[in-house]
Amino acid sequence: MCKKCSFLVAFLLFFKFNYSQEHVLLDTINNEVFKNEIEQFYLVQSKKTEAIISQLENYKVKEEMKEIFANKKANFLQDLKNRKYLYHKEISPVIEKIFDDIKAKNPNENFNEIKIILALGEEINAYNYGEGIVAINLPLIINVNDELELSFIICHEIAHQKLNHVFSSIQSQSQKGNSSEMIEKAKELKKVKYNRSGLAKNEVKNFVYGARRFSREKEQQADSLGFVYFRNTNPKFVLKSVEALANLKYVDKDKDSLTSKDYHEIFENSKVVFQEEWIETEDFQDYYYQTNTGIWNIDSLRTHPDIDLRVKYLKNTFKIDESQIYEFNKLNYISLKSKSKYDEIVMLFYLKEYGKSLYKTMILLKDDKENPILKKMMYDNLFMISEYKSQYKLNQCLETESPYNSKSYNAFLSFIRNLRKATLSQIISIYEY
Amino acid sequence: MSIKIKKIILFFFLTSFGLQAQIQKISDLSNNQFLDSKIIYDNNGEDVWGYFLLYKGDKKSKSIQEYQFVILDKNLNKVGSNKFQQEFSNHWFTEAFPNIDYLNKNENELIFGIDFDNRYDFGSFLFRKIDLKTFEISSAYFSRNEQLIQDNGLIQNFDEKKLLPDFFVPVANKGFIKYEREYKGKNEFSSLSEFRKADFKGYSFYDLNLKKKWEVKYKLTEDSGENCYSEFANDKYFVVRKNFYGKVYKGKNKYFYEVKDISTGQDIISIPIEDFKYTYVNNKVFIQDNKIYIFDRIYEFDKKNEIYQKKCLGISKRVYDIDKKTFLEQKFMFWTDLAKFHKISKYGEIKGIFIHLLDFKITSEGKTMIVGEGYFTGQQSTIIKNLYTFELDSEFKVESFGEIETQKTTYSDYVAYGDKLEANNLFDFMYSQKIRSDEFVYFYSDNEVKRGFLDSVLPELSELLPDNWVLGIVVYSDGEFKHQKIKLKTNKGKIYPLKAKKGFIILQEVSKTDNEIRLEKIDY
Repeated sequence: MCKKCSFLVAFLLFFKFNYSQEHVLLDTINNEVFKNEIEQFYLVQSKKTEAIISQLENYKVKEEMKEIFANKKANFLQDLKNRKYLYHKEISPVIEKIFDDIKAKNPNENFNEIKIILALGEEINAYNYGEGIVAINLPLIINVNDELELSFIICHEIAHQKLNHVFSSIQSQSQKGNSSEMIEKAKELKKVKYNRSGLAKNEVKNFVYGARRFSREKEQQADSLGFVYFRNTNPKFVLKSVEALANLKYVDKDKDSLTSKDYHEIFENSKVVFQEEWIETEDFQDYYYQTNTGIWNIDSLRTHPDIDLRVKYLKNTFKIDESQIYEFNKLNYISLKSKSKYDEIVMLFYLKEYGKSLYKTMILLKDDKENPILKKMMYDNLFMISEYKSQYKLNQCLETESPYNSKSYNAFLSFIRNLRKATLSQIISIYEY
Repeated sequence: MSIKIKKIILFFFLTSFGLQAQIQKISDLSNNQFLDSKIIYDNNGEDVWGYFLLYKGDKKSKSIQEYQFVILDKNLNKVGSNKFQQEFSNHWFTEAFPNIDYLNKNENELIFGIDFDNRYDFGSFLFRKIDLKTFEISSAYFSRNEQLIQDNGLIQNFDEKKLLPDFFVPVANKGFIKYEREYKGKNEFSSLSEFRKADFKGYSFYDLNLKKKWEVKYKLTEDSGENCYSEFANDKYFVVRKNFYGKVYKGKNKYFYEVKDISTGQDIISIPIEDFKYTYVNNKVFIQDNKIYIFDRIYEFDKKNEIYQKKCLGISKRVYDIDKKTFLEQKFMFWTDLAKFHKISKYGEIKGIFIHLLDFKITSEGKTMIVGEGYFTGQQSTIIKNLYTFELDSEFKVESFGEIETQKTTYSDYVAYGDKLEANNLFDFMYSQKIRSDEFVYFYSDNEVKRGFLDSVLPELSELLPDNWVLGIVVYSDGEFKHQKIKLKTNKGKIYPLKAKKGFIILQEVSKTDNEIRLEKIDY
């Protein structure tokens, strides 16, 4: 990364960027304090895990678990160092408040050994990392409808932690992998002369499907316990639990797009004359994509069982009354979500996903052309894209057109690639600051 | 527990940044061992449609091996895959590593021909068809004595001699040519060299289903065909270059281009190669907009048709209208025409090297764009150096002549002139592409870099290759040649440039642990 850009990332991550809405882009003030606190917390938790592992009887399982958890610790600490996890001045307090409410309304539970942290990651996701860490990816904050939905997701993830699912799953898989039955199967495979990899693949497949069933059970447990925490915290809003789940079904869908008219408007009043052919996309009609091109169906590896089943399970188990609808004030959260869109753009830039960052910037820019943050992000992303393009590394920061992308996103990918050097420089100069 | 299972467990419980999702890893496409791959061209053969990758699976029995194919679209998205079982002769010296020798997309069908270690040499394909809608694959088939043989147990049921198929030469997207030869008492399979020496008595055209469509027979009592021949075709025309020295020519060699209707085999036009002004050596022939363009190097006329390699005078351009069966024009460019740009001798010697012309393009205005490469043929070695660009107007007058300095490549103990260097793929020039109307891109690299995943490069080899490789990209656009270079060495390993859809290039990064490909747009 060029010096200017390194400085830029540091600038965005550590310093305030004043804007009329008084929102601070990825404000990670006190991040060093946060980092030290989380590191110390994790090291304490990790020691406890090591102590538990050392008590295990099976030597092979013990050694394997030690290795897995050592890797896991190293990964976490590295990610923490790389600022994958951070403290955000506006978002983190919201998460803390939700967690404090859960703690206060569930006094019989001890949540002191759990930390909920904000994570930088592209996926709309939250996950229990184990050893007391629950991570909420920034895009999830933007894609849930309100803090009650976020509260249920947090309840679900802390339930995973309370049930110690990560540890028990790793232990269970390790035990299974080292079981006499599995070892015997491996030996048998070695003796087989023909079709060895086919048979081995079946074994791995069985193993993974087995793990999947195990995981479904755990998901259901986490839904149930999470629901109890949520109901205690928000007794009037139990229906929000199933709404949170139902919403997850649609979060991946594009909520906005860029049309030809948008491109024309973005570049109007500039020297750049937009050409329709720039956004011409591949004709994927020419290909018949196989729906199941994996070795086996990757979808079945999802740890979360189908959303519909989960919704049905919660409704039936806890007799959720769908007529109980209460109003509540969402305005603060909607405002946070709105401001966090800018954080997401900066986050994607930080993750070197310049293409995605630029796409989201342009979507916001079409209705807010003079917004200084967006204009700045236009420049930063376009500058990096032009650098990568000239080094023939564009595909490291910009996806290729795919039949699985929306038409708007494919047109955008085509647009970036179709820009000639001189035109790209012209566009960059429009946004230079 | 195996490493694989551990990885699966970690997959469940760990998340990572995953920053390079845009990059396609060859190992991610299949769990099997990668063997070979080829470009799939679209129906008219002009642009890349996708890629065909072959992987080796399990050995199913003593003589049956399972393979997997994977098809990618032109953007490297996986389109589909399937497995098939292939019999092979189980000799101690035969390894079942097939090469993809032939690949042709015809509407929604992909025909591929494989060959085991070139065991039966050129043209001896075992064909299969893949339905591009369902990815179902047919059993293997081949042609023998003009009969189609398709049987799952074909190798087991035929002895080796009977198995040997007809020798086919693929022609454009339409089918195959099979040359008929007069064998002088030799068995046709005694050896390929014997086969090549035999007299050329005609040829037959077969469609993609291996059905004979038409044939040409020469009267050997009157005409004798020379062993040397070449052919090319497009969707409409078939062109063969023939050389006769029969009685009717009074013992003299006669060279012709014979242009035929590819569907019927009917003669359209016969173009003589010689005149009495110069001796011609063909450089390139191609069809564009129903015109045949013939570019020849010209030498002082010699009755015996002999030439002195270092005494080439320049180049001739001849154009014929195929539909109207008429000669349109002949123009010359002499090396001396370049004197206003560079100091150059009458015979084209420039700073001690000669230029071999490698690529010819005609623009919509009738301009000719040429790219050539410099070489020096010594007593015991050959040197290759520098690329040359030519822009000639519609009258074949030189408008620009440029030199691009490249790293010198020396072949010790190897003496060759331009044609041989080109035939053996020893020039740095790789290939060219039309990006759009009157915009072209030319790629070159150091010679060794030409290998890539399309040639089954082993990751280990990347360590042995020199560090100072560059990929050179020359773009002709807005009326000028522009030049750029990309380093092909990274922290991870080496990069191999590979052919991609128009205006793009695939860069394959190979290291000891990884083998990944990415599609990059030409930046100009």
